[in-house]
Amino acid sequence: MKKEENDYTQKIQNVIKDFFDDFVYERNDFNVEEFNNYMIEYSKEIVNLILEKNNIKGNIEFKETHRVGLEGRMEYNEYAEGSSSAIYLNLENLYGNKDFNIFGLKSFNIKGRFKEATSFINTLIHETQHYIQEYTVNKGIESSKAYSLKEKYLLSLEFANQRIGGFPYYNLGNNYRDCFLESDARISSGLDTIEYCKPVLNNLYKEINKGNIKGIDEKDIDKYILKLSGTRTLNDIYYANKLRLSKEDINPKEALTTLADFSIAECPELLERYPMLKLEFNEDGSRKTLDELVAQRDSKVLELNKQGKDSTEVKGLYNDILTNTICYTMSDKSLIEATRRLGKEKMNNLFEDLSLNSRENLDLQLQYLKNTDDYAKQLNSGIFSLNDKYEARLDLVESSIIENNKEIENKISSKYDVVKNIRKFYTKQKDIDKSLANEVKENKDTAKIKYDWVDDLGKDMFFERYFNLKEKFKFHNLNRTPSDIGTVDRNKLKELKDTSKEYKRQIRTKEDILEESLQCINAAELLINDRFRDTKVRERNINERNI
Amino acid sequence: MDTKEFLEIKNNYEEGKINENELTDEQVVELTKYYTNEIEELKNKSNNLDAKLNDSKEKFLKLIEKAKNLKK
Repeated sequence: MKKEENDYTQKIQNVIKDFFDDFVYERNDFNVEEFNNYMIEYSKEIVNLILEKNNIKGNIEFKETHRVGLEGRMEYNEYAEGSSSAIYLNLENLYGNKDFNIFGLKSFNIKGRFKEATSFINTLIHETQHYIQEYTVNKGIESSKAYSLKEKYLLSLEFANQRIGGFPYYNLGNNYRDCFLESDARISSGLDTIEYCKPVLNNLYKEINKGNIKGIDEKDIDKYILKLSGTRTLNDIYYANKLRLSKEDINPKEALTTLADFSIAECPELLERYPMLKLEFNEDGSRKTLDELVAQRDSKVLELNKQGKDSTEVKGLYNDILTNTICYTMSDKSLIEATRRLGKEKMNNLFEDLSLNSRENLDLQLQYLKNTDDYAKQLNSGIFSLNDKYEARLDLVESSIIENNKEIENKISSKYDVVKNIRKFYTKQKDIDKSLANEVKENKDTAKIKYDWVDDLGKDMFFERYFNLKEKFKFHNLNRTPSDIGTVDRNKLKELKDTSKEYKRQIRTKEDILEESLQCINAAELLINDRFRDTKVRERNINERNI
Repeated sequence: MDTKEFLEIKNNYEEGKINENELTDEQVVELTKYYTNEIEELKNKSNNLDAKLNDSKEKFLKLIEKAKNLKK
């Protein structure tokens, strides 16, 4: 850490120490107005110091939110000069809200106040992190916590999707946790909270050991730190990497890619707010084609190489964009079209690049996990020891990262198969072209149809078209047999016919059993309900007699 | 081969009026494609029925349980 950064860290730690003195060690019987003023002042001081530490001159106002369940929210508005952003804080809950049985910082026990105070600081740092994220991608300015090119791009995409009024991406099932902008803010704020609170936490441990502080013990503090640096951090890395399908069967990456198409087409001015998106989208909000993206990637890489600069990061970013474009926006048919235009060799090279990129992403993610984990351990050293649960969770997170990578690799390889199959398609087409050329020589009238159909796309469509044309133009003298268009295996056909017959027989039996079972169940239900009624009546009669 | 022609061949084949060796190569290819798709659909249907049968079995067991409780 640089010296200036270290100074800022110490300044923030001092403000937090004052905050603990005022509100945690002793119960402060303030009134709402005083309390709100205090909190706004503390918030301003902490947030401004964090921004200064990150070389950011922000313009943030602090406002109150009363939304139940919401601790904080950040609203970035600095797209134009002179406008300001806002951080909303739920001060009502922090003060204590009897209606919801929340005692906040007015809690009578120190454990409650400690929990509220650290949670408030964490929320504040979390919302500030969102501000840093959006400021970085909007202004294109580096903060001291530099994001990689890939991360900045992901943030741009996510902000763009989020900015369309009530857009579904952010709210899809558990996507709150799948969003990079959320997992990043949670991980950063968790670790930063511990770093900024470290002196007060150490002091608390000391005072508890001396017996000067009652009502809270070391385990309570351990638990909270583990939540911030351990469980929560690991959970977020886990969810951010798992690429699991949400309840609605939506793959978060797929959702992000496809929704971005709609958001940006609907609102192309998002490209001005998040300029990096111009890499993938045209000025009018439409998506660039695969050919354009490949050409753009190659020319940028060439340009950087000529200047003697490292092109790895730029190439990696383009490969991420290309992977998402191919995996989530292109049908096999449009991929075949692109292959025809780019050529087999270029396409094969591209897919090899993408597979390599996917493996490089895996290494990057594992390295990130390792760094984060090391940092968490370093922060916690001397405070508490990591427990077995944490270590087990670490293994799970690592496997989720590997799983995520596998899923992407599978997607790429399945698309790769499509490209590989095109080779066969080309070979066939060559033969047909030859035959056609002979045909044309013999009959000039058929010449006009030559390129009418060889330009056709997709295997199935190709053969369908071939049969139609064959029928239409009576190409009987074409030297082709049906074996060119499928397997002629009479034994297999017999086997298939018998299997189909057997399945039909089984289905009929199952349908009969099901019908019978349903009838039995209905009858049994009626009977049981009658009995149940009788029993009740009998019980009532007995009761009445007893009375 | 048009749809009408295909259906006629298929019915004759299923009813045993013609066998595999009497089919042309083209007819074998088309019928192979047809049965491959049909089997896929039948498999789905069969699995679906299995799930329904399982449900009804569970429902039945619950009813038996209810009946036993009534006896007590």
